[in-house]
Amino acid sequence: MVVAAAAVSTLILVVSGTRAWFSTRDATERTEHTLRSTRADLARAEDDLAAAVVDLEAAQDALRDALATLDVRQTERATAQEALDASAAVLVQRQTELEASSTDLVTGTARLNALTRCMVGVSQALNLAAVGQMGGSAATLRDIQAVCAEAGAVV
Amino acid sequence: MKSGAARVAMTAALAAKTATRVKGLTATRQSRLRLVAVMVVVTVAATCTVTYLSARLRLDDRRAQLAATRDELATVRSTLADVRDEHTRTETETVGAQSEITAQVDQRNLLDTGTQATLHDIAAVDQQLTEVNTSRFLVGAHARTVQACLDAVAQAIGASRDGNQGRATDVLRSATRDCGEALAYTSGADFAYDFADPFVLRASPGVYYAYSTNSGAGDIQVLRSSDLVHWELVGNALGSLPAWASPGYTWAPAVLARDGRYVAYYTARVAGSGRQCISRAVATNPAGPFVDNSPGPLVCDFGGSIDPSPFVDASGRAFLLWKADRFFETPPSLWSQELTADGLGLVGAPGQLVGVDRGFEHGVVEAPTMTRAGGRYVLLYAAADWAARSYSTAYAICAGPTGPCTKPGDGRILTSDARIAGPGGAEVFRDSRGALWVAFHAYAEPHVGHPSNRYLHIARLRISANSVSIDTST
Repeated sequence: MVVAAAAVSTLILVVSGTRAWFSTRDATERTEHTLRSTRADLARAEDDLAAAVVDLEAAQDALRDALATLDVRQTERATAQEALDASAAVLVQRQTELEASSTDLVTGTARLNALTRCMVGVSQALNLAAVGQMGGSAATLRDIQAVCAEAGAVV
Repeated sequence: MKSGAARVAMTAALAAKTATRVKGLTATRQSRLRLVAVMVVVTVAATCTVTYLSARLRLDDRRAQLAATRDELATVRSTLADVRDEHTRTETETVGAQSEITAQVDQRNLLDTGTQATLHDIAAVDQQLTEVNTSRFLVGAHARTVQACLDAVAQAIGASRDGNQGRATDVLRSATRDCGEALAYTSGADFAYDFADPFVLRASPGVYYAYSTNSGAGDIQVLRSSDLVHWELVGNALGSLPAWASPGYTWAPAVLARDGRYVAYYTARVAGSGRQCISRAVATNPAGPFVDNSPGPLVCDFGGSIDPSPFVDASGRAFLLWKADRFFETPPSLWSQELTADGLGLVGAPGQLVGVDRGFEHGVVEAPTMTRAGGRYVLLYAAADWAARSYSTAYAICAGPTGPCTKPGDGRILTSDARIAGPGGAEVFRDSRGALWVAFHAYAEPHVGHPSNRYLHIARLRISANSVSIDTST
């Protein structure tokens, strides 16, 4: 009886154990399959990461170069701006000088023209006087009084 | 794993076989068998348990590894995502930086262009400024000179009104230089006073004398120059008029060097008739005084004769050219006749050079002068009203010193422009190097016509095979 029970128990144990073992084995195999797949994914991800890091480093190098270049270009632009500002200031100064000189020239020319008209009249009057035409000389001098006064000359 | 399952199966088979055998054994042996059976069961159970636990542990281990791997994968993927995000950000920043670089370069180029344009503008403004300042300086200098002269004139007039003629003379003499420069500026002429119908004589290398119609300095005004640019007033070259002439109308003198003497031909008014006729006077010095001891005019056509001009050809023979008003009803004409060796008389018969036959002449030809250049005899003459802007200088080509001459269609070579008016009364001469020049007079705008001054001008005369021209820029 005992033996039979033992046999039955043993049989039950064996069957149960076998089933549990197979179940565990299947689970283990699935897990290992998944693990291998995951590890493969991991390896690819690590490869991708390594490549991405390389790319990132290259991009960061490019960015550093670009920033350095930008710094240089900004300095150059600032220098160019300063040069333009300086030359523009000089231009304004020169234009102011030119305007003042031109105004002075116009004033001086107007006075010179008046002096010249006065002088021509005086010359005419003196020539007329030289050939004895005193009346014409006096008339000429009278005619130019206004022009001479405009030029600041009194004759 | 497979080895564990085989052990379980083998153990179960052994237990069944043992149980079959147990039935035929004794109680003792049965007890032993029970014990053995229990042990077998226990053994089997233990084996199964161990095998299962072993498998289970393996499964747990794999699961742990899987979990760890997944965690690691997740970490790597997260890192990868971060790295890629960082890469994207970096590239974006790089693109932005490069875009900014481009913008900076563009701005710099624009600024550089602006700077270049500004510098160009500065240069242009500087140029204008220099010109304006130069003009200011010149205007100021001219104004000061004119003002100085006018001040002196005003002082002289004042002194004269006060009856102090000596003071007036001194003041004017002290201002001679200023007034000379001022008048030269105002007239644009080579000599600043009235100097009509000029004639230039090269008396010796580098010494020139210029003679003109009567004006402030006397009946025959005479100047002296060494460079044809700066002229010094010598004074009156004619000592006195002959007895047959009346004063005040001595015109257009011209001088011929002959046998160590100088013969001046000039126009004088014949007392009584009022005709203008040509006389001659002699001097041993080109500055005068010229003495006229003639009993009457040298040339005096029916209507009058004026504007004498001597010409010496290559053989040394001298000729006198003049303008004749032969009949009041006919227009004037230009004539030429050979002079005696001493220049005091005429020989042979006169020849007509040209008459009036061109529209621009407006019925008048006068003031002839002749030169020989390039194998041709070239006649210059004045045309139209001497007191008008239409007065001009033209030319004709002559077969010889006494003509005949042929005019081109419109032979005018000197006319009024913005600066001079009524240019005429020309006389040709050569400088020390043999270059041809012409002296002429012109009014200075806007004072045209009598009694305005006619000023002296000196310019180059250019004669080629195809053209005759006067270069007033010289």
